[in-house]
Amino acid sequence: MNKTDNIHWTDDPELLEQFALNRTEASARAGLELHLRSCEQCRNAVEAERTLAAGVRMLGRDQLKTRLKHRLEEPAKHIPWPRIMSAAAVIAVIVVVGVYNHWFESQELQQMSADDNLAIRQEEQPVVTQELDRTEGDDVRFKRKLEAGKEAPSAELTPESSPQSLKNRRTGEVRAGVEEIAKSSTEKSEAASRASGDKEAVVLRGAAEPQRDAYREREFAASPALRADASEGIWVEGTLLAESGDYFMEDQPKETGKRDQNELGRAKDESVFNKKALVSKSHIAGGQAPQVSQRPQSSLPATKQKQQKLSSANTVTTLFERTKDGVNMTIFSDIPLHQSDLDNATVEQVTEDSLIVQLAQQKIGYRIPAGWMTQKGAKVETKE
Amino acid sequence: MRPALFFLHDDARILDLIRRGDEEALVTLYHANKRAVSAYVSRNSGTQDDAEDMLQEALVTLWERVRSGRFTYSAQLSTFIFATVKNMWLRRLAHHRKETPMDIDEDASANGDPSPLDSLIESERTMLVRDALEKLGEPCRQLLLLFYWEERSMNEIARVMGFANADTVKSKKYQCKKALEKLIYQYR
Repeated sequence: MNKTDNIHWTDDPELLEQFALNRTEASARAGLELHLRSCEQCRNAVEAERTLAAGVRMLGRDQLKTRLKHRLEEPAKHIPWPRIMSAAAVIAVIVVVGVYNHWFESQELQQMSADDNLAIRQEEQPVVTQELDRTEGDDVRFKRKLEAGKEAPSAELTPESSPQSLKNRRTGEVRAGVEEIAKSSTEKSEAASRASGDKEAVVLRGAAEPQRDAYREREFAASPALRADASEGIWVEGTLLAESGDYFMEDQPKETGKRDQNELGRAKDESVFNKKALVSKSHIAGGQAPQVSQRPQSSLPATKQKQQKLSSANTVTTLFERTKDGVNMTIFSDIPLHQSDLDNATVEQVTEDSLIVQLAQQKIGYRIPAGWMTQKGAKVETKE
Repeated sequence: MRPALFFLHDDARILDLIRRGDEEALVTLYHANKRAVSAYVSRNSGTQDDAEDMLQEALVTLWERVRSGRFTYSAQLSTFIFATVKNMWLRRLAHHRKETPMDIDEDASANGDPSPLDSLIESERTMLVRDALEKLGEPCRQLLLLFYWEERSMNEIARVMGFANADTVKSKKYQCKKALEKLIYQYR
C-alpha cells in the first residue's frame, strides 16, 4: 500500500521524521500535505516532531556557542606564534651576545687578576741567568716567526691576556699590535739583562711573559700617575676599616677581588689586626715609614679602573713603590683628604705582611707580601 | 603579497576542519571576521557585545549547514558570514522596531507568518524540549543531536557511536524519543 494513501501516515515514525525534517521528495510531499489538511491528529504529530527537532537544534547551537566562547576566552590557544617566535629569536640573540660578552670580560679580568699576583723570589744568580736566557730565546723565536712569514700572528705569538691585544683582535689590527709588542719585548729583554747585574731576581713565567711585560710597560708609560721606575712597585687593594677601632681582617685575605663587610665581620678572634696594634704606633720594622700620597681614581690605569669598579665600595687600590729614598704609597681614592692628612698619616706594620694606614679618621688595612716593605736588594716584578 | 586565490586554500581548509568536527575552525573564522562584523554592527546602532553575539550565531549557522551537508560554497566564507550577520542583525532591529526587514533570508520567512502568540507558544515548547534534552542521558542526547541537528544518516550515526548497524540506531532512537517524551510530560 502506498504510504501517502494511509489515512494516518504519521503513524509511520520514519515517514513522519522525514516529512518534518523536509527530507521527503517533492512528489511524495504534496500527497502527504494534502492529507494533513484534513487530519488534525497528523498535523499535531508533525508539529510535535518539528518541535522536537527545533528543541534538539537549539540545544546543539547553545552547546556549540558555549564551547566557542570558552575557546575564545582561552588566551593560550590564540597566541600569535609568529610574533612570539620573532621576539624569542631576538631575546635569544641578546642573551647569547650578553653571555659571550660576560664570558669575554670575565676571562679578561681573570687574566688581569692573575697578572696582579706578585712574585718575589730571591733566587741564586745562575737561576736568574737561566730564566733570562729562556726569555731571550723566546724573544728571538718570536721575532723569527714574525720575520719569516709576515703572516697573521697566531695565538701563540700574541699576548692574549692583554686588553690592548684583545682590542686589536676585535678590530682586525692584530699585525700592528704584535709588531709593536715585539719591539717592546726586545727592550724589556735587554732591560732584564742589565738588571741581572744588580743581584735581583726576576721570575719570568713562560714564553708569553715578554710580550705581556711589553704591554705593561707601555701602559705604565702612558699613565701619568705611574712612576718611571714602577717596575719596583706592587698594586695592593686595601680595605677601609671601621672607624671605631674594632677592625680586623681575615687570616687569608684576598689580594685582589671583592671583600665585603660580612667577610670582615668573620673570624674576629683570629684577626691579624687588632685595636692594640694601632694604639702602640709601631713603625715599619727595620725600615722607614712609607710616604703617603693620593691620586684620584680616574688616574688609575684602565685595567685597574675596571677592577676598582668591580670591587666593593670599601676597597682602596694602592700602589706601593720602592724608591731610593724608601717606600711610597699612592692611594687612588676620591676620598677628600688634605695634604696635612697625608703628611700626618700613620703607617703601622702589624705583622710581617700586614699594614694599617691611618688617614685623618680613616683607617685602611693592607696585606702585602711578607718582607717586601723592609726588603733591600730584591727586585720586584710588577704585573701592571 | 598574497596570491588572489589564496583564500580558496584557506576556505577549503576551514571547511574540511568543520566537516571533521574541529571547532578550532570557528575560532579562526571568528578572529578573521571580527573586525568587519564589529564595524558593521557598530555602524548600525549595535554594541560590541551585539557584534560578538551576531558573529557567533553566524558561525554556528555555518557549522550547522556544513555539518548537515546543506552548505554550498558559492562565495568566500567571509562573505557568507558577513551576509548572515547582516540578515540576522536587520531581523533583530526589525523585531525591536516592529518592522519587517527588506532582505530576510529563507529561514526567517519559512512557514508563513505565525501570530505573536503562536510564536511565543512555539518558543516555549522548543525551550521545554531543549531543557528536557539536557536531562537526558549522554548517549541519547548525542544520538538525537546527530540525527536532528547534524542530520546524519543512520549508517553514519552507527559508525560514529559504535552501533552495529542502522537498525540498531533506529531502535535506540525510538527508545530515546520515548524517554524524552516522558521527561517532557514531567516538565509539564
